[in-house]
Amino acid sequence: MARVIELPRTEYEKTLLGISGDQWGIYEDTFIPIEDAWLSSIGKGGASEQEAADIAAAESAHTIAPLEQAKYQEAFAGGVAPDSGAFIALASDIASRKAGATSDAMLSAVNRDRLDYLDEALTASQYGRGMGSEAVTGLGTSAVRSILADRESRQLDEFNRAASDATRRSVYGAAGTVAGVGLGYGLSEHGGGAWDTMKDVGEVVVQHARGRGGTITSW
Amino acid sequence: MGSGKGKTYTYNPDYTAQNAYAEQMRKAWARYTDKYLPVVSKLVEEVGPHPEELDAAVRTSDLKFDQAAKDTMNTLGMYGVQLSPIQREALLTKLNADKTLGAVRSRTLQRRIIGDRNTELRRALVGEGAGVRDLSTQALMEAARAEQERNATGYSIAAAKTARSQAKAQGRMQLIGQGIGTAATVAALA
Repeated sequence: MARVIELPRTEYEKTLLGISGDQWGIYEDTFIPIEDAWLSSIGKGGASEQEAADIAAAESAHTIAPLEQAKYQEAFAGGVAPDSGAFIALASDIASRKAGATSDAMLSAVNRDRLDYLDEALTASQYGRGMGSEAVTGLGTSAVRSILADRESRQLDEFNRAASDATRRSVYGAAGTVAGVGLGYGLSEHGGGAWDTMKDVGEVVVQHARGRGGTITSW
Repeated sequence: MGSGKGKTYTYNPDYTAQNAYAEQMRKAWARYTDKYLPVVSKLVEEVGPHPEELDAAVRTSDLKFDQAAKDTMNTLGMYGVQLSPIQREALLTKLNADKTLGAVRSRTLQRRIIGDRNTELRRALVGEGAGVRDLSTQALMEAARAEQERNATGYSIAAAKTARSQAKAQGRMQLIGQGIGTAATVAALA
């Protein structure tokens, strides 16, 4: 039965995990709804454009009205009679200019609104891409970490098995030596032909050892 | 006296932080794809000639010129001007001509605005596209990095298994040799 090493989490780790959990909770509970509201507000057309056009029309009318009035007064002061052709021409000219200016102002407001939408959508897109990039890096790091964790676990497993094997071999080695002594002794007593053969082999071994170091113990 | 077997130790790893991190990253990716990618898709759809905007520009202009015609009649009425049929026809002809010119002007202006906007948008979208391409490359790079680590794991485990197996075989041979050698030595010395 393997013994298990326990390494408790350090206080710093606990603090960091706590901070991470708290901040993520705040992000999910508080800021994601804001983000969602912002994202759903990013749209083209509809009430926003109509509102912009209406405001522009009102502002245009407000700006033009005194100018229009001044033009008529200027004409009357210059002796233009209300029933004259000059007056009719002036009235139609002012009306057309007013229509053109108001129409331009409305279109300009609508186009500004559309550009605002595009700017906002591009900002959102860039923000989202940052988030996507962060996620890809994070997932990549997680993938590598999971592989390293698997490797460490397998390596420890292999190491433990190799160490157990080495121990077992040592035990078998000792047993083999004892068995060898027993076998040698047994053959010397009852071995016959086998004994002679074994003795010859043993002589070679002993002579070889003596030749190298003079004594068996030096072998 | 110690055991002949020796002890084996294992470690129970703690992956709380790593798992939480991976989960957070999964959520971030899901949020990007669910909430932000549709915004990009809509931006892509924005590029185009937008005939509806041209029609709307003409409608606005027509509306304002019709309003202008009414205003003119009101102004003249306010000053007690009674138009003769010829004056009336001339005035209406002029107002209609102004209306037509106004419509043409609005349509042309809007077309140019759409053209400029499309150019700007395309430029911005090229940047967005590069960003999307970067994400793909980045993901592939991370996958390659993970794959490399997985392969390294495979190699190192294979090497460890080979070493263990070879050591086992060597041990067996050594054991046989040792047994025979010992027996022979004992026999020679007997």
